[in-house]
Amino acid sequence: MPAPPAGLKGQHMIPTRPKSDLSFKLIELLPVIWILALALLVQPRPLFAQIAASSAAAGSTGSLTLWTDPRTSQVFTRPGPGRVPLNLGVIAAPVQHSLENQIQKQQVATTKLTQQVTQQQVQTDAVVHQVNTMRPAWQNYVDSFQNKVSIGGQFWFAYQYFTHTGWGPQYLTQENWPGPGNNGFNSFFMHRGYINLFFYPTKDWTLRLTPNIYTMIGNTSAQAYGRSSAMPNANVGNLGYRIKYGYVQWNTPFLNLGMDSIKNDKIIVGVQPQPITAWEEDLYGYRFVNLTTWNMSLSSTFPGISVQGPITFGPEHLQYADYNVGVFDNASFHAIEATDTKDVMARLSIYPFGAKWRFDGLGFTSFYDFGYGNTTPDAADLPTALKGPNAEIERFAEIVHYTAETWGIAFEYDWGRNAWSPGNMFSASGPAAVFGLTPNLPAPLALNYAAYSNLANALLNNGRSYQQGFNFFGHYHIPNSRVTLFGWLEQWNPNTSVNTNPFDFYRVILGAAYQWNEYLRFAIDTQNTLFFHNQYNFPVSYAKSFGFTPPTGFTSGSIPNVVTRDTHVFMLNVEYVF
Amino acid sequence: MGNHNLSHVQSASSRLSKRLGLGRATLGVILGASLAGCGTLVPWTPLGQPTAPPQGGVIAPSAFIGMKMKDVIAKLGQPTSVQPLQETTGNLMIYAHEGEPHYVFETGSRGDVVSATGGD
Repeated sequence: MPAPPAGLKGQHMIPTRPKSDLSFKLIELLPVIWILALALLVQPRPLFAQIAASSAAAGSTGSLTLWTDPRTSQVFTRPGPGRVPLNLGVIAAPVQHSLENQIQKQQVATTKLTQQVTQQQVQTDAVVHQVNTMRPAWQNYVDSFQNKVSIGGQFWFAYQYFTHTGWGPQYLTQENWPGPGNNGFNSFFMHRGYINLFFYPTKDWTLRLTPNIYTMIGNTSAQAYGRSSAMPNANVGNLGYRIKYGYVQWNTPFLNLGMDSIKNDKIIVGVQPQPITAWEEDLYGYRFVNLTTWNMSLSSTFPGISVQGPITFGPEHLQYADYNVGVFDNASFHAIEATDTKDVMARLSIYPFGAKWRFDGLGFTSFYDFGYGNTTPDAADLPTALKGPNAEIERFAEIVHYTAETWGIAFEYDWGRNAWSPGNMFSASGPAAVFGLTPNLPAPLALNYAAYSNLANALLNNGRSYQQGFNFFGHYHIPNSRVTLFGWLEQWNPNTSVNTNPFDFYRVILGAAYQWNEYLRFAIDTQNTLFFHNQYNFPVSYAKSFGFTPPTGFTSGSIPNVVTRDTHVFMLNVEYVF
Repeated sequence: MGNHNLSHVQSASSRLSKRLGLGRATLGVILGASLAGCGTLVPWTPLGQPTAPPQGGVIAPSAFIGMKMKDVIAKLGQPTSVQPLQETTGNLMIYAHEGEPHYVFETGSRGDVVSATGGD
C-alpha cells in the first residue's frame, strides 16, 4: 500500500482502496446507478403488502456522508474548502438494525410464545385440577351410593327327626314329610334363604327386594323329548328362588302434617308383609322354629298397599298404639289373582300404659281380615249349594301380651270363617286323595281314604265353616346365660260347626334357644301335632249335612277311623341373620 | 402430546386400579358380611356379662342413635339377647345384665340404631 500524501496526514480515509481507484469506481458506477434508478422508476409499483414486507425485511435505511473535492476526486471524511458532500447509502447499519429488530421481534415473539406456553400450562394445570376435583366427586358418589344400598340375609336351617309321622299342617314353611307309617323319617330342611336388598335414594323413600329360596314341588310328569325319548321331571326338590318381598316404602308421608304422633308412619306399595304375621312373629321371637297360628292359613305376604306405624304421645314419645291397615289381592305372593274383589286387613295394637320400645309392657292387639276365595268371577257366579272356595273369608285375632326385657307372654284367641281349607290342614302331608291322586293301597283301604278325603273337603271347604283357636306362647331368658326357653301351645278347631271334629288338634312346641352371638341362634325343640279326639267312625248321614259326597263304591254308613295319627318331631334349628 | 397420552394412560390405569380396588372392596364387603358371624364367634366371657363394661358411667340412650350394632356392642359388651325383626329386617337388642344399666335398642334395615331406651 502506497503512503498517503503529506497533506492528508491525520485525516481518516477509506482504508480499503487508494483514492484514485475509489474515485474511478464511483465515476464508472454513476451511469449504472442512473440506469438502475430509471429501471426502478419504470418498474410496476409493488403492492403495499409487498412494500410493507420488503420494508419490514430490510429495516430502516441509513446513509454515510463523506466529502469529495470535485477537482481531484479525493474523498474526505470531514468538510473542507472546495469539498462537496458525498452521500453514500450505508448497507451494513440498516441490515444490522434490521437484524437487531428481527432479533428483538424474535425475542418478543419468543417472550409471547413463552407467555402462551405458560398460559397453556396454567390452563392445563387448571384442567388437571378439574379432573382431580372430579374424581373425588365420583368417589363421593360411590361412597354415597354405598350408603344408599344395604344387603342383608336371613338363613334358617333345621335337622328334623320324626319319631311319629302323621298327616297335618307344617310347623315351618318349606318342609314336608311322608305321612303315617314312616316313623323315623328324618331330614335336613332349609326353611329360609332370604337376600334382603334395600335401596334408600332419599330419606323419604325405601325400596326393598327380597328373593326367597323355596323348595320346588310341582307336576311330576316327564317331558317328551323327540319321537321316542323323554326327560325326567327336574322340578321336585329343587331349591328355587322367587321374589318374596318387593315394595316401595314412603317413609315420611305424614311428616309435614304437624302431627308429631304419627310423624314416623309410612305407606308401603308392593308385595309386602300383611299386617299380622310378621308383627306376631316379632312378638313371639322364634319364627325360625315354628309358624304362628294364622300363618298356617294366611300367607305372610300379599301384593297391595298399606299404611302403618306407631302413634306416640307425650314428651317421651311413648307408643300408645301401633297400626297396619291395607288393601291387598286375594291371592298371595305365590299365586295369581283371580278375583274382582280385594282383601282388607287391619291390625291395631294398644299399649294402655305407653311403650318405651316395641312390645314394651302390656298390649292388646286386634286383627281383622275380610277377603274372598281366589276364584275368577265367572266361576264364582255359578250357582252352587255350598260356596266352598268361592266363599267370603274372615279372620280375627285378639291377643293380650306382656313383654319385658327378658321374658314375654301372650294369649291369643282366633276366630275365622272359611279360613281353613284341606290345603291348610294337610300343608305338610295328607292323604293322596285330597290332592287328587290314587294311593298305592288295597282297594278297600284306598276307598276308605277316598271317603276320608271327601270328609275333609266337606267339613273344611263347604263355605260355612267356622274356626276357633286358643294360643298361649312366650319366652323366658335364663339370667346370666345365653339360653332362652320358649313355647307355643295351641288348640285349633278347624270347624266349630262339627260336633266332634276329627280334625281338631293341639299343637305343642317347647324348646330352648341358645344365642351364640348377635347373628347366630340355635334352638333345640320338640314339636307335636296331637289330634285329641278319641278314634271314632264318622256317620255318613251327618257328613252329608256338610255336603259330603261318598266316593264311588263307598256304601258304608260311616267313615272309619277318621282321627288321624299324631306327629312328633325333634328339631335342631339354626338362624343366621345379618 | 406424549405427556398428554402418558397422563391419559396413567389416568386410565388409575381408574382401572380404582375399579379393581372397588371390586376388591365389594368382594371384601360380601365376604366380610358372609363371615360376620364367624368373625365374632368368640364366646361371651363370662356368660351373659358385658365383655366391655360401659366406661365413664351411664351413657344416655340417645347417644346410641345412628350407631351400628357392632359399635354398640363395642361400647356396652355383648347384649342379653338379639332378636331379628321380621317386619323391618332390623334387630331388637336388649341389655338386661344384672348390676348394669339396661338398654333396649332397635336397629333398622341398615343395621343402625333407630330407637333406644333405658340407661337405668
